[in-house]
Amino acid sequence: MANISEIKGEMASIDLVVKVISINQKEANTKKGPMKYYYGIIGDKTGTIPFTAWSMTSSVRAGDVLELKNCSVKLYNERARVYVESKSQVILRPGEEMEVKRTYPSLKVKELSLKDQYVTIEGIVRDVKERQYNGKEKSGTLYFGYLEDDTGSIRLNSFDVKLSEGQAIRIKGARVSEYNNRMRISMNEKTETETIKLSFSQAPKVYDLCELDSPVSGVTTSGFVVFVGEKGGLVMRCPECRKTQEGDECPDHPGTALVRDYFIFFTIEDGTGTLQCTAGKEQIISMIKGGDSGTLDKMAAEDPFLRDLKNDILGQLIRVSGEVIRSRNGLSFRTSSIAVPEGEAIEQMARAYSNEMEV
Amino acid sequence: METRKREPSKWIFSRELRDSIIEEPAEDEGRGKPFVITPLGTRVKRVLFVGNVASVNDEGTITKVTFSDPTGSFYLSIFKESQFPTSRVIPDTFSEGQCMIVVGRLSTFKSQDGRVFFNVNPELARDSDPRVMKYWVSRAAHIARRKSLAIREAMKSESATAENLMSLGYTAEESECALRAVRGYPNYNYQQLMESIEGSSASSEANIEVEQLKGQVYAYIKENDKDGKGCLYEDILSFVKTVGKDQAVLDQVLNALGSAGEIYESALKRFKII
Ligand SMILES: [Zn+2]
Repeated sequence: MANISEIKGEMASIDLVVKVISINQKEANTKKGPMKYYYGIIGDKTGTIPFTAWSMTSSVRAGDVLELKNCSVKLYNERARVYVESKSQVILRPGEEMEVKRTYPSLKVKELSLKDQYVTIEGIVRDVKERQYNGKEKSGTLYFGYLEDDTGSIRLNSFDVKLSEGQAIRIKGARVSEYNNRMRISMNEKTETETIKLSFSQAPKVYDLCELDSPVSGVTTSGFVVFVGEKGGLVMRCPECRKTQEGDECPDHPGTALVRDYFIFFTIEDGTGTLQCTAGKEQIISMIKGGDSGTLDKMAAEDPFLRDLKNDILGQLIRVSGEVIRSRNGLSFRTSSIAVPEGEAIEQMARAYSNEMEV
Repeated sequence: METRKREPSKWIFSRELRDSIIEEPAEDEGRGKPFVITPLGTRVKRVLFVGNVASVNDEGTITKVTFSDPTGSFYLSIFKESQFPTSRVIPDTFSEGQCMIVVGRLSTFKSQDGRVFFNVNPELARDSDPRVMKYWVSRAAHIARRKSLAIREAMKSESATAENLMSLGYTAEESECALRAVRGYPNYNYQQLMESIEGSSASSEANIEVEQLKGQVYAYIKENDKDGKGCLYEDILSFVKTVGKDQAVLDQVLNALGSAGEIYESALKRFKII
């Protein structure tokens, strides 16, 4: 019998005694037609691991203790996973109890999703602010900012544990949740943390559009503009709080003159997927050749709004950075910067694929 | 934001489309065009490609434009009396030799001898440049390459599933494509297709380098032929190295300029413009 903590990488055959932490059922299309399978998390006194079972009796429930014989371990999404296959044996041990040590998958910011509610994650703390909070059970100080790694950045809330700017930290058991269509992680005094040394390369990864499947900020992607929305236009914005205003002044900042801001919607595609993007004045300007704020104001006077700009960016290859947001219509992308690659920059994008020729 | 879901374009080479023999009826009760299932399992009704205009033929009510990509040709039909009066794609958009990006919907028609042809009805067409084409070619080749590898995996096992393939690192789309391919094209010659695609991305890469350097080398020879005897090969070579290219590319450029009648070898290893 092996322990879960002994699992390192792929294994052809392994026997385990485990407790089922969670179990779900799904149907997959195979060449032989639809097939039912189970997946979830199993654990023992040394740790937890995800599993997939192609053959399993349907009576198994979360909390059951099982003996698994002749299973295999394969890597799925670079993480080890136990596979219960037709050659494997599943023996129920009714009435038996088992202590399980909770372990959390180590994930990068970009890999976070609601599938893993608790994770181990490391990164650098940025833009820390603090405020008092008053909860039902207790009140204290909330430190909030962003945790950044080489795949992106994510909102981090820390209850009563002080965070400092630029601190590199490993958080074991950070809670993943979604709030206001954005992913965030939280920690408190019970969460295990340690200060670590961390460095990562500066060049951002350029994601394929099919990889952007959850709300995350600080990511870069690219594609051709294939559609520009009819909507879009002018909004008035408070320069203090950046909120858009319907009236003549911002209720929170009376007396501050509102500034004009523009926005457009467009769609990009990269051969792997499609993404709805929004861009504001600053991002729109970076798509105008040799353009500045004045050029944009002139273009904005056109009817329909920004007609020439829209014609200009259709079919253009662009690289965008920003934030994936979940809305009623699915995921969309709020751009924080846009670049129109030219010359050497395009060649570099092409070269990314030229070393991978099949032999 | 637009609520109606737009079918995303697929980046495929013309050869992948030409070899397609399967159509999947449209889901929305015939309202839309059917999907074409290609040998790589790509489920496509809209394509995006960057290519060169090979020919423009005015046939009265319809203008036919042939685009060449490195593996063959895409055929476009543009109706003069467009059913889409707002369509910005008009016949005048196209002229021979131009490098362009095209997004369009596929339509299929059968010839009298039963062969199937694919037509692209362009929704978007605009000028592009050879570097962008090189980017498109290498990325489309990358997409095809990953699909062909997933197909190879799917062929190994009778009970291959999308989840099996995803556990090997393929995306959901690549895995679904691989299963569609093994179901629909059990006897297809993938090696031929991939050779055509790989060859194209390598050769187009080399050609683009040569094309880009031609103008620079021509200008250099013109400006640096101070004594009228022509420029020394070594001097041209050191110039070429400053722009990051090597001797092999220079030799191809000099050959190309020579056979185009733009320069000649005025003495041993000396080049002059004509
Ligand atoms: Zn304000």
